[in-house]
Amino acid sequence: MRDKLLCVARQMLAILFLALPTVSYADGLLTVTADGVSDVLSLEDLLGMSQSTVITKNDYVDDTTEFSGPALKDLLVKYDIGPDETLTLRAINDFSVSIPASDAYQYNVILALFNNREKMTVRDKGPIWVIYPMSDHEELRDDSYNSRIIWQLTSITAE
Amino acid sequence: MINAGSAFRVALALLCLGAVLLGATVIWKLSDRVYQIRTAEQSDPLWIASKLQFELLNFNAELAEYAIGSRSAEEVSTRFDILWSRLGVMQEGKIAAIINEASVDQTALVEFERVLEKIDPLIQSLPRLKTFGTERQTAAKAILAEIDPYNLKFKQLSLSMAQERSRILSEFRTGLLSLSNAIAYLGLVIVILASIVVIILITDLRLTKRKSKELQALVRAVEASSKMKDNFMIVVSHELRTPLTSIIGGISLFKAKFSEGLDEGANKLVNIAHRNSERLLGLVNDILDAQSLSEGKIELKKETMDLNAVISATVEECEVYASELSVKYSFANPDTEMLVDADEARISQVISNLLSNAAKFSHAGGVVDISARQAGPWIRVEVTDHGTGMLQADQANLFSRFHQINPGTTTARKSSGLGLSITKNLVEMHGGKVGVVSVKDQGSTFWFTLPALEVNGSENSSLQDQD
Repeated sequence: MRDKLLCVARQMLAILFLALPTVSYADGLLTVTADGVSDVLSLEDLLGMSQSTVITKNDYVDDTTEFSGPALKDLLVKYDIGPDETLTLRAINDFSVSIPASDAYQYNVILALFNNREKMTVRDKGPIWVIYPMSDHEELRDDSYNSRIIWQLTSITAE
Repeated sequence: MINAGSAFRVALALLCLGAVLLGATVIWKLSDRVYQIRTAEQSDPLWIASKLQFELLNFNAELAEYAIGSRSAEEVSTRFDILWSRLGVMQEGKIAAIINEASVDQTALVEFERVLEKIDPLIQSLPRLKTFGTERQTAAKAILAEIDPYNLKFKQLSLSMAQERSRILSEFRTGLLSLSNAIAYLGLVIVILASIVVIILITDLRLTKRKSKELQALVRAVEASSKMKDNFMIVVSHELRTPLTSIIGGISLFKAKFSEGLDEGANKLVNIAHRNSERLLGLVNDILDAQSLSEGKIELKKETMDLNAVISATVEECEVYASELSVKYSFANPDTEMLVDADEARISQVISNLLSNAAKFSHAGGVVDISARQAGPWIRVEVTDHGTGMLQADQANLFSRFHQINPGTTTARKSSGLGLSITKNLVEMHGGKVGVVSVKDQGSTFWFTLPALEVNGSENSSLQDQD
């Protein structure tokens, strides 16, 4: 009986030990670092912000697609990141790209969570895909902006 | 010459058109080519293919680490999702189009998707609890066995993508080469055009220089001749008029002192000399006036004056001359002032010209009527004779220089032909008009108008144009 209890307790500990970081990882969708201070945002946090919709086509979708999610600008304003700063966007596989924060102020750049109203998973470039309104602005269709629409976004660092 | 010139022009125009078309094509092609340059590695099929290969290797490594217990099942699952998303990238949008375009074997991709679907439940059910054990190794081995062949297949896919990329690059290079050839042709055409333009400019410049030299020579010749004429006029003025004045003065004095002591024949001779000297002086004065008028050298000394008074005075002055021709003047002086702003001497000269002309063309014993009246803003002076009159045809050139109609056979009555031309010029300088109404054998009416100082609205104002 006692052994059994100990075994259960050990298992519980193991669950806690293993589950804790996993749970926190699942909860924390996006890490925002500004002025050296990091903040972790959950899906609920992002859904709680005002949602913006961008209907556009890009090189990685077959047809014009409706993307929706919080505007990057709102997030930058929230963390007091001005248009003069540079953002380093990092993806789940450690791919990273630097973009000028002014992009977010100049265009309706969104952190898309939904693709044609369906929540994006890691398998289809989710949970967060940075989307530029390329169909609305001729200049954004330039190849150089292709590197900025980073998918599977996990962190934003302002410098 | 004309044909050669127009052919040259057509050729030049065609060359210009060709250059413009070539330039437009080059620019259009160039922008097209520039768009083909892929500035983002994400759009590079080789990059995409190698990324898939890379993620497959990552997943392999993750599975291996899971088997030895240093990675959790969740981490393996995440790697699996990333791997799947890489496959998705190759099957959607532009990359899918590029892969379709290139004759790359895609069966590996289709098969791999099926494999992913097959191992998906295995991944989701990976034993989570035990940190170390054979269960993990068995599960990892099963998955690795499924995906192992794709390491090689994706390597081959990457290779064919690299080949495709090289093909695209060489196509691009060929395009650039043809473009650079086109630019070279364009440059050649531009150089030819520029040289032609320069040649035309130089020829034109030479032609203009020659023309301007000719013009300068012409101007110098004209200036010289004008100076000669001026000198001649000065000679006429001083060397002719001065002695004439002396001669007339001398004859007048002679007549006054000795006419009584001379017999009739001698008196007649003196009178002839006197009359002809006067005529000669008049002629010289007319020539000088006409010259000054044509050069615009005469300046009017305008002042307010009564036209009736001027007419009366001039009629009196001319009566001596008229009496020699047995002609009388009849001026119905209205006894009202007709004020004009004019040069008195010149207006007197105009009236005198008309009066002497009227006398010359009157029959002996005839009367010349003079009238002046105001109508609105104009004062109209008319001098009417009842003499020989003129045909309509003779009236046309009446007021041009050196136009003469000889009234009789006596040379004493001959005129210079300048009087009416001077009259016209002087009246027009005062802002007026001159004209004539004449009927052959019934007489002529010469009239002129001057702007009045005080407007009188009693009569119609169209008097000015009654010619």
